[in-house]
Amino acid sequence: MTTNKISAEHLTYKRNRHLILDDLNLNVQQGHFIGLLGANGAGKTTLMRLLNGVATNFTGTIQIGASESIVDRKQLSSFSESLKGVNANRTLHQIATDYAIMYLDFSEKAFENFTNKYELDCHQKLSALSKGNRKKFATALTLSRQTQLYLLDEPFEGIDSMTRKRLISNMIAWKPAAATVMISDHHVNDVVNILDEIVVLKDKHVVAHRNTEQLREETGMSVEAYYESFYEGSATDD
Amino acid sequence: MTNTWTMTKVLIRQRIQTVINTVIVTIVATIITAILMYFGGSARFSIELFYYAFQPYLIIGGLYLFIRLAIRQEHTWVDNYYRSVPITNLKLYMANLFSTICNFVIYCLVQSLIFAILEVTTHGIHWPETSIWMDVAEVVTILGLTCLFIWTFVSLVHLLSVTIMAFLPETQIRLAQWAIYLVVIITASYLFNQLWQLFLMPFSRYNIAAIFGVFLVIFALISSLNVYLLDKWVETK
Repeated sequence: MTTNKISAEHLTYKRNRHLILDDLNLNVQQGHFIGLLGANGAGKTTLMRLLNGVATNFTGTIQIGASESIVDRKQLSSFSESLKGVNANRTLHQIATDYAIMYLDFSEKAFENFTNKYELDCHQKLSALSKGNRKKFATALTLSRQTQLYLLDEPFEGIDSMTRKRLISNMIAWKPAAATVMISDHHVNDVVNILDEIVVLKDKHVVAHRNTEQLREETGMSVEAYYESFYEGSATDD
Repeated sequence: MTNTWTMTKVLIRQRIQTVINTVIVTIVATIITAILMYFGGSARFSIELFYYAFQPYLIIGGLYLFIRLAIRQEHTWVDNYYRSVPITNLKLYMANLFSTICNFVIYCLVQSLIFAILEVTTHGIHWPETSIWMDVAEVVTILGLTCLFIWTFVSLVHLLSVTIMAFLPETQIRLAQWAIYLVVIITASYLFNQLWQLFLMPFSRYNIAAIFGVFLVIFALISSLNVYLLDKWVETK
């Protein structure tokens, strides 16, 4: 199926009189792992916030599936930054219980599987977790929803490389065929093997949107080299 | 889509611990004060000692909880944790405000029960005149409406400041915050002065229906503005 699952047309977003995204266009097909790449401040998190619906002051259109409505977008996407603002004195179990009530598509069974695989103790308080374990918990919560789009903002930050590889292989095994997973990460090499597509953000725009296999065949470059070339000024746009 | 009642239940549950902690602290403080009074030689050890020691803590605890609940309520508007939930802003607004009210009512009921037990144990059962109950009901209604007004007004100030600050350059945010505080202090002083006049009025001059109507109109106006700001301008941090 080649329906555009996520689309952003002429998307412009400004905050504190600072232009973050300018006339951005993006069309993504369903069922893929998509790498959202860009330097710090390129607008990766902002784009995810806009797609999820927690940022609303934009011009242009955003669509997930057939819907542009903010409530529908929140229903159709699961964002790893949704844990921001939770009371850190609550245990992981309590937070997950609330998630199960607030999100009708939350699967407690899937959450249990993830916490077992990620070796998280659900009786611990959130405040007691290390940075890496917090990221693992946020990822477990995000992926335990049964929805169409998963937005993972730097999910492997603070996680050692061995665990990172294990998490990535878990993610490949978990992914439902129809689900789209958008991952932003600074360690391109670590995630590159699971990516079907990459989207490069630079200068407030999408400067490249490529299928990773085609990219390697056509340019003979690795994904990381291709991405870095945008910052050396030596690559052509998509 | 998540419904209002579901969201209300989650918010009540998350805040109930604050209510329980406040009740526990007021009880512990009462016991400590009573013991100190006894050892200070100012009273003989009896339930009456607890009865008098409990009264100030009942009010202090109420004020503390009132502020804590207002802070928790305001966090809800700007935290991803709540704003990511697939629910309309109107429903989220109603759930948030209703859960704040419910938690405060729970506190009042529990403390009233403790107070009633201490009262009966100290002075025995004696029913006041019927006319007193009418006055009590009026005071409770006006206090309840005042709480509701303050919570919605605090939300309005918060949401307005978030909206204004999102349009300013980051370097001017601090300055704008002080300007907003100044406007709020002036407006709030005027409004609370009006409320105070209301409280000072003798009971016989109260027209409870008119007061209720005015509060309802103000509440509806402020709430409409709050929901509009949430819908159009207020984003998460």
